[in-house]
Amino acid sequence: MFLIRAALGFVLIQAFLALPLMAQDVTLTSRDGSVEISGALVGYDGEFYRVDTVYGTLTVDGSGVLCAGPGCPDLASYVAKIRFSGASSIGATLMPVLISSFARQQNYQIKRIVTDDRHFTFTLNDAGNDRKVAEFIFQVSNSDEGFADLFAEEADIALSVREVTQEEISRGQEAGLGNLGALNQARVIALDALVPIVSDQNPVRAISPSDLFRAYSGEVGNWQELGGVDAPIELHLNAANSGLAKVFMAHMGNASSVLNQSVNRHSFALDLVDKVAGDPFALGIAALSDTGNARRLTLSGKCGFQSVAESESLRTEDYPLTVPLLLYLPARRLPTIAREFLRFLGSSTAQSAVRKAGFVDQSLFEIPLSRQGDRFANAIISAGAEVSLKELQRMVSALDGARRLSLSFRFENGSSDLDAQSRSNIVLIARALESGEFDESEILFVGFSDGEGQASSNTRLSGKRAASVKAAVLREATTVDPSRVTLKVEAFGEAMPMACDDTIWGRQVNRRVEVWVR
Amino acid sequence: MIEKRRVFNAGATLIVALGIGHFAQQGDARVKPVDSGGTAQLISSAKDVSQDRSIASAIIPALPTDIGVPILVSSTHTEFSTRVAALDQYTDTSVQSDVQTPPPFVLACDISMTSTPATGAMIDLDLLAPCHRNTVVSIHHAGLEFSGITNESGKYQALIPAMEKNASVTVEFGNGQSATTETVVPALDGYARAALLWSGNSDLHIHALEFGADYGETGHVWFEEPRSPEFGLSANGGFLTRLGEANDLNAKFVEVYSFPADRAIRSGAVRIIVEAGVTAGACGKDITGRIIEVDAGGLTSKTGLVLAMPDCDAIGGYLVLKNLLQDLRIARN
Repeated sequence: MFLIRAALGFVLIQAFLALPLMAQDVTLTSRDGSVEISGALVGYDGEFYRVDTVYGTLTVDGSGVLCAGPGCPDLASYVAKIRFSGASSIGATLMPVLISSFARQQNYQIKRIVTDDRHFTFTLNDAGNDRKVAEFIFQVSNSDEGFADLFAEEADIALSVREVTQEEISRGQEAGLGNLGALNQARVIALDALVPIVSDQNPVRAISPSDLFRAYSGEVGNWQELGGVDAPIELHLNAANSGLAKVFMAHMGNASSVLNQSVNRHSFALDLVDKVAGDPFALGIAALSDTGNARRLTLSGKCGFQSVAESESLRTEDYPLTVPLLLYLPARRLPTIAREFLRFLGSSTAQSAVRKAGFVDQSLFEIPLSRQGDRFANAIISAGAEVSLKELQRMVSALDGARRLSLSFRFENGSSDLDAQSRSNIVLIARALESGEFDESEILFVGFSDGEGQASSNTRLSGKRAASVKAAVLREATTVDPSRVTLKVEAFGEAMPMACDDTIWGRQVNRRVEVWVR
Repeated sequence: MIEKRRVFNAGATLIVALGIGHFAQQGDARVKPVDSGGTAQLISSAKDVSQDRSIASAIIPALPTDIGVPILVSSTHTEFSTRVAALDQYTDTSVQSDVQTPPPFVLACDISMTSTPATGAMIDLDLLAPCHRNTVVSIHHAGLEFSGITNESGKYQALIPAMEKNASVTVEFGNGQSATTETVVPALDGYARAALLWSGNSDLHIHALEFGADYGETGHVWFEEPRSPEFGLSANGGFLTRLGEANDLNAKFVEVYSFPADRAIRSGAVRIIVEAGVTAGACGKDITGRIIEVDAGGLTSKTGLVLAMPDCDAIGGYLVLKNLLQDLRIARN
């Protein structure tokens, strides 16, 4: 039955293609009749026509033209259709909660039309007159597919748990989507993290990142070597094309090239979590947003640092395996309701929906100095030949009376480029400055580094990075009144490490610019 | 014969009652079971009538004393029926009686309905609609909607999971008539609820897998292993309520899974799965309904639902939806 239908559909499509493409043709004429554009209608968003003409694709304001031809849309019954495609944690878990919150705030009635767990559509109707105004169409798979659908014009918004790759940026440029690597085409809508998980019955409570990577590369195969019982480690990981698995492999660095062949792969994150929860010898990598009934392991380090994934450590990115959840947008105009929805995502209402869905939101808060005990203790322990007591005293007095903001700036591995979360943080802090949230205060951009190399050059380097972050924030905060707020730069190099320097991620955590407010 | 007399009585009642309405208006505008002024007088005289006919009053449910004030709304004579709500319990006396002396406060067709809070943040609904015997009624509460059938004496009873603390329940009788009752369910605080509503006699089920339980294990809560609202008190897990009856195609059904989230004695996750059987009646068609979720903080979200069922070559299979209702994340207190 299904096959017959599919075959019939195929024939119909062919018949359609056989017709001249006239079917989509439109002619737009300016109201005074002086300008005329003809071509195939690519899209209409309720306000603007996109027409494929001999001059290329043109976007024309609908209010200034009259449309003639068989391709003209029915203006009165226009329903905005926004297609989302990509990562399942965003599409299946976070977005439904955000859409429901958006609908409540904007007074829309929503309906969810479900084909299966991966294909569903939300319709939004005006609560007043019950007119359908939009369809939010979801195709849920993984981040790779999200980008592929964006390139193929089968999606308007890609959902990703990883940053766009260089290759995808150039493919996007070829497809006429603009620069997907640019700040204005990517939105961080929430934070998540990778966490190692085990069953409740497993006695192991913490694992060092290097041990974790050694387990996945097959170097360590028995729980005994990790302080557990004498039993083989049963490894679980998401499917190779899953964004979370890719992020994990990227953190593993070289070790990923020798990924243990006996890893159990799962195409549903949920199945992985349930499997690990039920097997006392299993080890898995899950998203913090859904660890189900499994137990999360703390990340520990040989040099005594511990890192727990929680709301605060994700926002400050002090937890090394933080994963920003991203929306990637094409350079073209999206329908009004899509833009309203994107604006809504930055609101405090949306932030509380993010928390409700089990993710970490990005609202700014201040962490008091009293919460810095562990970090100051680390600084004292690590002090010695390279970092003097005098340097520590300089640091403590510079931060005296200030509070750390719940965001920091971190850099791509081995580069001075900010990572995705930090780029989004530039915008967050710039908007807060513009809205006067920090009027009459002093904002310190405080640079820190890892411990590789000379302490003095590290201090210099961390100062440079802090200055560049400050400059980026000022570039973004165009309407801020410079007389109302003081921005300063401080640098203390390797004086306050937060992780061991023996792994890539450890050094990445240590290289940072913190923001303090006084 | 009886039918005829009923009609006659109902007519007479209406006339008398209009008189009462007028009278009551001069006393207290709102008549409650226990009130003052002109109303109190009416009640006492009604009591006299009922005492004379003890057989009749014995089969009629007693009026609740402190909770669940019955409120009556009827499209035909709203004001009047509201005013004389207190007299509902004496409804049927005239039918049993040979005495034709005017039965002044006999209201044969009036609907009496009460709601009281019950264990597990439930609403205990009691309906008596003597003129709607063996009738399909539609019950509404905070977005929940399901069909019920009154028995041969017009009685209907249901335990409904409260979705709002200030809980209002409306029963519609299909002829434009409806009645509403209100109660307060303070125990709802701390309960997380996930509800699935649909119309048509489809094979739809909520399955809750508590704390890693698999299908068929303890902790798998569903239609065939629903547990009772009392289980909610033990804080060990949740319970499932299914409501809705009648066999016609428009019948409406509800399944609600309830979990006492803020009193949980362990932490972990409850997976909530919706399964829709691909039956000969449902294949290739749309099932329409709604989902409602109430979190432990009392926040509610309502979403209309259309399930596009797989084609008929999949008959016998199930559409399994793991992402339709949010899993519950339970933190131990």
